[in-house]
Amino acid sequence: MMLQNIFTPMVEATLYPEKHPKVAELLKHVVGFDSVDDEGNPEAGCGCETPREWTGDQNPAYCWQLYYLWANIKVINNLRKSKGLNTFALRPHAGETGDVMHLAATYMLADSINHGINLDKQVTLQHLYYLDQVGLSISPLSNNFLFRKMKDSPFPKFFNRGLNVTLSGRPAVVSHEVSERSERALMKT
Amino acid sequence: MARSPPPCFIRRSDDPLLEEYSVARASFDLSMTDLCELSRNSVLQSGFEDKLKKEWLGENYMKGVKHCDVQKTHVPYIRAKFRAEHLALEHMLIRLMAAGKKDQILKEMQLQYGIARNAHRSILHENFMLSGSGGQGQHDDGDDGIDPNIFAPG
Repeated sequence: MMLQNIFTPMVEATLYPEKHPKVAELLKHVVGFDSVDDEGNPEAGCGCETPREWTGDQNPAYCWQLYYLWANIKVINNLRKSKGLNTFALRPHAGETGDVMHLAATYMLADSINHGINLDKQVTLQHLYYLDQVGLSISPLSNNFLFRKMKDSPFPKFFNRGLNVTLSGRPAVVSHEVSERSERALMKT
Repeated sequence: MARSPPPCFIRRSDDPLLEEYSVARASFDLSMTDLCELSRNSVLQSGFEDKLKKEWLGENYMKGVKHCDVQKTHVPYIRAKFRAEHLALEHMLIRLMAAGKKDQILKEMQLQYGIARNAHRSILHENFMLSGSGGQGQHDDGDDGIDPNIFAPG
């Protein structure tokens, strides 16, 4: 069970730092959690199963995964706050592709999100993101190769409208793979 | 750079981020002010400790973008003020609508914008209209009367 693998050691290290000094020290330097997957994949419906009951082969719905991630982080944050330790933010990838309503889930659960370029397809949500200044960390360059061409990027529109946007590089894991191409892109512009 | 070492650059000085900024600057025609605002947002969103953020954004950054230190963020006050006011206005409108005053506000806004537009127009007419063409300050609605050469010198 993935949730258990991630969060059980964290709870233990928070409760008994002397037993797990390395994990406890590491957690002090962690600021948040991201969740990444191809959002375009077909997903199962959003039901009320608990993670323990999820036994099918298919990936559970995006909102479902996000909810349990959020719930666990919330519990740990409360625990850590009561011990005077740092807390964690939830900053998932969302709205890169796939169902626009993923962004509704992140609006309610996340502190800020990565990408969110699908917001230009859903004006109501965009307004909510504006009103609450939910952070959007957009990387037009990586979108350029994967999902959305530079000239169609909603970034300038979001920025002019006053959404809390910023630029980010692509995640370290994929950066090497695309760095050569993006340098070429840089030269072209 | 307008902002000698932007904090987010120091911490993540890998090439990708720099690339992202310069490509965005080139392809979206961003000004230096825009870039500074973006990097300020970046620091605001980041998970760095309060102490570091205070060092990068100014003591009172928690109170909102208007309270960031201009010397540090290089985001001009007028830009921060514009963003903050715009957001506050939007919040106010939502709240008034929630209170069921939508129609009233719409009417009021139409009235106020109308007054502002008319005032603007009469200033143009009074100051820039060439003498003799059209009645001074008296005009019906529509794009009438304003001489295309009003901004020509002399």
